Amino acid sequence: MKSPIGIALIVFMATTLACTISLPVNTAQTGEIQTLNINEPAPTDHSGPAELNVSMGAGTLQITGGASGLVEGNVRYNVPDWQPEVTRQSNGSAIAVNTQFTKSIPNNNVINDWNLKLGNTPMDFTLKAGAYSGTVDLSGVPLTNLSISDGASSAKVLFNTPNPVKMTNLSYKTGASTVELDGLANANFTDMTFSGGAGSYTLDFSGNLQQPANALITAGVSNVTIDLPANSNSQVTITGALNDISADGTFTIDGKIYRTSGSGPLLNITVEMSVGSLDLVSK
Amino acid sequence: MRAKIRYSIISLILVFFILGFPASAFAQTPTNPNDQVVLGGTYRLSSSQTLNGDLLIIGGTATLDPGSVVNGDVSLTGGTLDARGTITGNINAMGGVVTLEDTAMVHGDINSLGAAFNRSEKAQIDGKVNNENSGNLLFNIPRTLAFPRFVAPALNLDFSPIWKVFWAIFQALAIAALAVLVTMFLAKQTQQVAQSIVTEPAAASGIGCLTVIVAPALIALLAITLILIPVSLVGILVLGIAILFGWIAVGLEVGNRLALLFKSEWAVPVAAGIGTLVITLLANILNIVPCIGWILPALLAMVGLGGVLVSQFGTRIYSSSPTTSYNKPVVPTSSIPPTNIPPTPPASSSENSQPQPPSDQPPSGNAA
Repeated sequence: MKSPIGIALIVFMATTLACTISLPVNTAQTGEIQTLNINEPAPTDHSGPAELNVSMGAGTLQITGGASGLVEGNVRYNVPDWQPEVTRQSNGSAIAVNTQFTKSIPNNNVINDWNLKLGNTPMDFTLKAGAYSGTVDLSGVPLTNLSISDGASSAKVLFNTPNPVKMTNLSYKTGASTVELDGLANANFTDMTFSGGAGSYTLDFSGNLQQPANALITAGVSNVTIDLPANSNSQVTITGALNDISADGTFTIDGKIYRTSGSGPLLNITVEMSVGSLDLVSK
Repeated sequence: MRAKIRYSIISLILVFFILGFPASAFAQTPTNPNDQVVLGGTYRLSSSQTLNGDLLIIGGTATLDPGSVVNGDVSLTGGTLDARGTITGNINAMGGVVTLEDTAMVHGDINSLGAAFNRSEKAQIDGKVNNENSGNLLFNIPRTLAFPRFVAPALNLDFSPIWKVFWAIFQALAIAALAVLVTMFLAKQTQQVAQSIVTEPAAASGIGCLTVIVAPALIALLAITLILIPVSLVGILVLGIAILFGWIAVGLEVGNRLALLFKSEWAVPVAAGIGTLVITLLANILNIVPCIGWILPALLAMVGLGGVLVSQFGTRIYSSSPTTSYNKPVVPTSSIPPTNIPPTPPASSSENSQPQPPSDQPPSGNAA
C-alpha cells in the first residue's frame, strides 16, 4: 500500500466516508397548534418614529397595512420551541416580535404562519427571517426606515401606493432567494441598498418618485432584473466585470451607463455585479 | 521559485477553501458541541455573548451584535450574515450575503464564492479576502436557469429545489476537493490519463463506452454466481474509482485549458480542482434539463473512464500512432514515382530567400 494508487484509494475511501452527511441538528418536534395574538398600540409619548422589529425563522409571512395600533395580527405555530415573544420598551416606542433561535430544523408538519398588520404610525421597520415564503405589502405604510434580511426565501414586497413619509434608508439583504420588489419608487426612499447572494431578484422601480434617490444593488451569482418606467428619469451604472447584460426597451447607452429619457427626479442606480446576468427593462 | 511559492499558496488556499467549507457543513458529528447550525432560521448573538464554536448558516439569517464574539469559523450558504461583532476564525460564504459593519472584526480570512460581500471601511479584517466574484469565475448563469422557488407550504425543506441546488453545489465542491487531493498524490498519473484522452480521444471514448456496456453485465454475471459476489463488489469499487479518476483527469484537462484561457499558470492541484468543479457544476446544471441533460456528463465520464483504462490507470501515456525517429531520413518507397524537381537557383538576394506564399493565395499586399 505504499504505492500512489494505494494512497489514492485511501484518500478516495476516506473522502467517500466523509461524505456521509449527518447534520448535528434535530427535526422540530411538533405539537398542538397555538396562536399568539398581537395587538400593540402606537406609542403616544414618543417624538421620533416608532421601532418595530420582527424576527421569524422558517415559515410563511403575510404583512399588510391597516392596523389601528402599531402592529396587530397573529402567529400560528405548532412547534413549542418556536414560540414567539413580544417585547416592548416601557413607552411602547419599540416593539419586537421574535422567535427564539433553536437548533431544530423544520419538517413537513411544521406550521409557522405569521399574519401581521402595520399601523399608520411612522416607524422604522426591521424584518429578519430565515427560509420563508410570503408577501410583504407595505403599500401606504409610513416607513421612515426599512431593513429586511432573509435567507433562502420566496418573497414579494409591494409598494402599490406611496409611502406618506420620507424613507431615509431602504436595506434589503437576501440569500439564495426568489425576491420581487414592486413599486419601489412608491417607497419614497432617498437611499436604497439591495444585496443578493445567489438567486433571482426582480426590482421594479415603478411608482411615484418624489425626490432624487440612489440605489446600490450588489449581487453574487444571480439573475437580476431591473424594471424602470419608460418615462422615468433613471440612470443605471454597472460596475464590476459583468458582461451578461440585456436591455429591453429604450435606453441611451454610454459604455456601461444606461439612461432612460423621462422627466422627474433622478433615480440613480448602481449595480455591482461580476457574475450572473442582468436584465434591464424599460416599459 | 517565487512563482512556485505563489502557486503553492494558491493551491493551499484552494484546498483549505474547498475542504473547509464542506467540512464545516458535512461534519459527521459535531466536533464541538457548541457549534451552531442555522438551517433556514434566524440567529442572533447579542452583545457580550460569546459563541465558542463554529457558526454554520444555511438559508438562514444571522446577526452578530457589537461586542459579540464567535470563537471559530462562520460558514454561510444561501443565507445572510450581518456582522458587527468579532469573528476569530474565517468567514466562508457561498451564494449568500456577508455584511461587515463598522464594528466588525474578522481575525481570519474571508473566502467567498458567488456571494455578495459588503464591507464597511471601518470593519477590520486581519486575514485575506479571497473573493471569487472578480469576474474570473468560470461560468455564467444560463438565463433559462430557474432559481429555486419555495411553494407554500414553505417548510417542505427536505424536498425543495433549493436543497437540491445546495446539494449539487456541495457535491461539486466535494468532488473538486477530491480532485485536489488526488492530484497532490497522483499528479503524474492524472496528467498521463488526461494526456491519453487528448492524444487518443476516439480510443478513450470507445473503450469507455465499451466498458460501460460490458462491465455492468460482467459484474452482474459474477454476482449471480453468489460465490463470486465479493469479486463483483470489488469490480464495482474498481469501476467507481476508475470513473472518478477519469472524471478528475477530464477536470484537470479543463483546468489546464482554462489556465491557458486566462493566460496564467496553475499548479496541477489548482487546475484539477477548478476544472473538476466546473465540469461537475456543469453536469449538475445539465441534469436539470429533462431527457437529454445526462448525455454530455455521461459522455465526459465515458471518455474519462476510457482514458483511465487505456493509460492503465495513468501509468503510461497511451498513443496508437507509431513512434517516429526524427534522426533518420525518410526513404521514399519504390511505389512513389520519382518526380522531376527543377533545380533551385541560388539565392541572389535576401528578398529571394524569404519563403514564398503558395501560388493560389493572393499576394499579401492585395489582401483586403
